[in-house]
Amino acid sequence: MFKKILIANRSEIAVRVIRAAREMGVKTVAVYSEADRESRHVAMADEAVCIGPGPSKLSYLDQEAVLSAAKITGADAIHPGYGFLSENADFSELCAKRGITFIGPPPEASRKLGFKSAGKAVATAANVPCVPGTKGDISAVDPAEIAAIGYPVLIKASAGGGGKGMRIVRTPAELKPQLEAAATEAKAAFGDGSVFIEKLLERPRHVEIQIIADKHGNVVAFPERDCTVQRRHQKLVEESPSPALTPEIRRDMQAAAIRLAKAANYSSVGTVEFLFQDGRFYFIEVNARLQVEHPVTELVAGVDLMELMIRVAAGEKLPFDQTRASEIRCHAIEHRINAEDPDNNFMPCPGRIENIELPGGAGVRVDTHVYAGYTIPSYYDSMIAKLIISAGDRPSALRRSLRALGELKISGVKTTAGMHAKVVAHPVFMAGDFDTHFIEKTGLLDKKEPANV
Amino acid sequence: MHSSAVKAVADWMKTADLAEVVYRKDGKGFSLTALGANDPATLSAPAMPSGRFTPVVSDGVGIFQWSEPGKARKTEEGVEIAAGQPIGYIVGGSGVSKPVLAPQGGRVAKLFIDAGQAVEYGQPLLLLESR
Repeated sequence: MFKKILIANRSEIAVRVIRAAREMGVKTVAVYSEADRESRHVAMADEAVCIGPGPSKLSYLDQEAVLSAAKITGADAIHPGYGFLSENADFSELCAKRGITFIGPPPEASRKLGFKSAGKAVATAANVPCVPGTKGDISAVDPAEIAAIGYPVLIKASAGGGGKGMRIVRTPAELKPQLEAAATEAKAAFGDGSVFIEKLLERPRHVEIQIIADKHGNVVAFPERDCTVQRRHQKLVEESPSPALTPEIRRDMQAAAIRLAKAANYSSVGTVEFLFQDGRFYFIEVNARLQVEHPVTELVAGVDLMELMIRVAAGEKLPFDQTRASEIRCHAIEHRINAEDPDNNFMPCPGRIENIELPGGAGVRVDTHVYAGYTIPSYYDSMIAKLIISAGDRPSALRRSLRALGELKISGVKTTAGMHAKVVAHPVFMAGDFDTHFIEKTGLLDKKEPANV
Repeated sequence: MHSSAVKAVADWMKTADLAEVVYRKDGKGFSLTALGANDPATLSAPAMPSGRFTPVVSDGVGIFQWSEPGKARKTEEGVEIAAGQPIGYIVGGSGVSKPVLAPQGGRVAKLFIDAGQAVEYGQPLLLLESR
């Protein structure tokens, strides 16, 4: 086991690593920027090193500063948390060169899976279903090929992003003109007119499988997390198990995730993300890190993913098999509480937290780095707390969520807590039958009326 | 709180060059203001005149050294340093050393650091006194 772990991160995830390490009897080093002097992780760690000014490029993303802090404190491992350097294969390689264990996947595996296109190739080779589409870029249209994919389809620019050059085609007759228009638009926007075609999933759910692999070839997959409730591709609410999956689909998804991990020689924790519609699932990408929403799985499966992640990084074998990993012990929901103004287009609201009262009681876990009197710096992500609720079944968990959200009181900054109550109390959410367009379709965040719960 | 305790604080205050003392505990407390505290004529000169001393702080993380290996140390208390002159070096995790440059010229008034000590970003290394 490691002697001392340096946490190359901030906020609640740094606190999470420190807690796990302390329980394991491992010393911790916090690194922080000048703007984070007051953050709880700095006070909690055994040692703390200031590594730079507020902007993350000059502190949390400064690989040399992080590695120098590890050197002067004698840390033998670095935990990257999520974001920042967590999926940077070059950084994990550099750690290895300096004789420091990077607590995360090996660089070769994250390179294989980290990028969407590369990940898709590995998935296809491992017989993991992907969203059907053309093999690569297309110039000429083969109507039979498109018909085999099945309408409606989506034309996407290969160099694209931000929706530019994207076009929906619903009938074969529209295909040719839309393809030409998309190519012209892509050429104008990106200087590259190449496009490809994918099946359009109009009512997908976002369902993901948490895996953990040790360095001895053992991989297990946990029950899924359903992260369908999103706003502009940002996950808002995550729950497990998904209200939409059958045990058979769950098993198939877990098997697919394990095949993918083995094909990439993966080790550490990771998440295989899928779109799910009409009883079928399609691989999107792998997140080669411990995600924000990992506590949902910790509660449902009754495991400590952070501790397991550290143990497998230190070379230990997984302490259980797939049968144990498949157990569903409760229903869990996570609410990400952000310091944002829901009445002003979710603009971040940095500032001083005058007072904060956290919810408690049975089945309520709060992961946070903030406290009364803490000033939220403007440099970083606006998430200030995660509320993770667990109960015997989904209806009880939803009731408990509303109760806990009601207990949460924060003054000084605006937060998204009220919005979460609106989501949980919505009849469509309660019924469990919704897709990734839930927020837009229900118009839940359009009105400014206060949450009536 | 007993008045004798307040008197003890008041006596100490006279010797401590303080203008005001505020004490609070469990919702109770007291506040003492020295006579003529707001009258500039009665204020003693601050211990450290503003602008005379400039701290030189570390702009990186690593092990501090006064000089590069094999070179003589130049920075001592009392010596004159020119603006832009290296006052020492910080050896990072990669083994590469980076000079710490004096932001302005002046006399080295006080050292806060020893060779071989670990330093973090923003840590004061020494005090320069401008002429």
